[in-house]
Amino acid sequence: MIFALTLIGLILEGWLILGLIGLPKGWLRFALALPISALTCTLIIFVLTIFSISLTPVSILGLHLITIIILILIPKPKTKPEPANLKPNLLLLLLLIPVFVYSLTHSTLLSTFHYDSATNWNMRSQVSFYEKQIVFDTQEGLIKKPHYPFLYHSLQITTQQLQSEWNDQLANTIHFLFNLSALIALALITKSLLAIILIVTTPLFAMHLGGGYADITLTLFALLSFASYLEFKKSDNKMWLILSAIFISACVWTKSEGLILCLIPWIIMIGIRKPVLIALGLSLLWPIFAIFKGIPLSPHGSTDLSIGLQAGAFTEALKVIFISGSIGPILPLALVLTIIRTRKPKSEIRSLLFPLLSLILILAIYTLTPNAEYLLNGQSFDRQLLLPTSLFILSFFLTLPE
Amino acid sequence: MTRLLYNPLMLRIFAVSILFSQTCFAASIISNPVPADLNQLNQSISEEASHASVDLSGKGADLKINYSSPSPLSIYILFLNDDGSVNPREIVSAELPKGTAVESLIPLSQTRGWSWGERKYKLHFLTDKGVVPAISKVEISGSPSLIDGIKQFFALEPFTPSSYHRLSGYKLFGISFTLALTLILIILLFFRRKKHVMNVIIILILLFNVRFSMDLLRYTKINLSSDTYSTAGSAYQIADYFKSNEINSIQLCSDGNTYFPTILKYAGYPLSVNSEADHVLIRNAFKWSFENGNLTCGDLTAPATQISKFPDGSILFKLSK
Repeated sequence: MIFALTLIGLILEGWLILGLIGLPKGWLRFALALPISALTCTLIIFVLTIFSISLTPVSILGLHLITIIILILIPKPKTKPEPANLKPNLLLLLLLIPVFVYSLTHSTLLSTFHYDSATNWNMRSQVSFYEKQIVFDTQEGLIKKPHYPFLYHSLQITTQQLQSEWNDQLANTIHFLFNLSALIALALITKSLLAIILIVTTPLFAMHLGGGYADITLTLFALLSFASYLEFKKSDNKMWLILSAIFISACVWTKSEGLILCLIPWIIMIGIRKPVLIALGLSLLWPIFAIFKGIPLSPHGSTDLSIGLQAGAFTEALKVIFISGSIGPILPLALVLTIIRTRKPKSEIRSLLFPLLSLILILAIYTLTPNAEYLLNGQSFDRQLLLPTSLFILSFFLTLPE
Repeated sequence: MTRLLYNPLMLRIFAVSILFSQTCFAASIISNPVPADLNQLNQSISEEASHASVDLSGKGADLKINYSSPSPLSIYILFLNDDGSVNPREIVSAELPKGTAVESLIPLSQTRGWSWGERKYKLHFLTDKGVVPAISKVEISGSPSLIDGIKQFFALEPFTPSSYHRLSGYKLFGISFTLALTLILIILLFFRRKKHVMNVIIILILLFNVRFSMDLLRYTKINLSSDTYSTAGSAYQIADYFKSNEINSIQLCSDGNTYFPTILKYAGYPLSVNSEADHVLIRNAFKWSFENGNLTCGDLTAPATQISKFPDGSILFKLSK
């Protein structure tokens, strides 16, 4: 009940923010509300962290309440309600059922299962919940990545307030609802159910929808940003570019990789435009804070920066892309299509920059730096590939001629 | 003769007999392999007295073993990589019945680890204490039947803690399905009637994804219907027991794998796992005993009382002061 009330509050907050940006009332605004309020949860916890205020129901929910009241009082631009313009195809929806059933049951009925979640994602949220502050140390070895940004944790900590004990099922349920909202929003923005189904059913993506890691959170924010940008290109409505900037900054707050793999390729794709300042303003708060606190910005510390060809890494990367079952045939196919498309007009190539640059950066990081270790031992390379793969799928479906 | 050949029923019998030719003629006993894990193997080795292992290399779809044994034999088959390493997700085991001069056949080509060409294997034979089986011949030979190829394609992608990092993918007749489909799709891309080709490509990719979705449903059914939760076993039930009985610190005696203590610490936070605690949880320990009120596990030997047993076989003891 408390969880449901907090959730309604967060959706209301997101709804009001989106109204302020100029998004018309409708299902899209409703679906985007939770992804937007995930960022406000983070910023509120960030403010409380800076001022060393304990993370309690009064401080967290109080600030959200004040935010909602202010948002209600601010006059919003008048917009016409937009009907949802997506025709659901029953056959395509059937393909989603297995992934939906798996995701729902593993997030809401079953417990946290995967290793990194118990050593970092859900564990750091749990420890921070009990400590009433975001923890930035290993807590005697319990947390492996205490230097990561904390959007994933903020959403969990906010929705656990007023609970006497950490509730594992609720921690995963809120991310299930986040994923569901973001995917519905993506389908409504892109109006391409097929593209969303291809993304969602990609084996490793589907697997991660069982909850517990932030790779899906990062990828969904990047997809929302990319879809908003493509919508801006189509409609020339600047509101979409502002939304794109907000979502890309959410990537930076989700995982360390967000800075390199999302923000930089996004800025190169967008070019010099005013919304870049919004993205930079919201994003750079994290690296500035991290530098002041002496927290490393890269996922694996200073060794990430030494460059040199890593033995066996290139062959292993090819094996993952062409032989493993994580991604399937869609990534190699996207690469071939990209080569074919580079002969097309310039405007089309620009929208390929985001997926292409993130892929090139991932390949460079895992074949030219000591991060090759995490490719060779099969730990994080495949998960990172979810980002460019999903972006490629969206790019092809939204920019290919009919 | 002509009439026989054109009789549809005879044709069907003829076709089926070719499909199942290995089953019918190649060996007297067929033992189908099932997925196993290293932990199972190590447990079996620690529990069973008679154990032998052999390295084998060869080209073929079936493992043929001729033996005589007064007790049933368990065989664990490890597919070795070129560098001698093993993919733990591809370990299989089979049960061979007792008997004299038995010729058995294990169709490896229906398992996830099998592929074409020369392969190296490590075989572990296990049987009852004191039994010495006579194994006269072990060889790899034959080619996969249609059924084995299809079985390999529908073999379950394992649901393990490392599944979130990398999925091995499916094989069809020993060939990577991802690679085969990728090549087909890339060739299709260069066909002229682009619009139809794109539709075919999308349908094939969706079929690839649907194959994995089937496994997602299979995991869901297994995980929801079982008393334990895959590799996590009874970690959450144990943690709940600790919380409700105000047990804040334990000793853990196990196989040394870090996964279980990690999950247990998350589930039972702020549970402390140390060597000073009064409670001892035994889980997947290779060698331990509880006799005459004395618990022995690893370096620990102390009088103790058994408090509780959990569905995954973990047992909780309280040390007597």
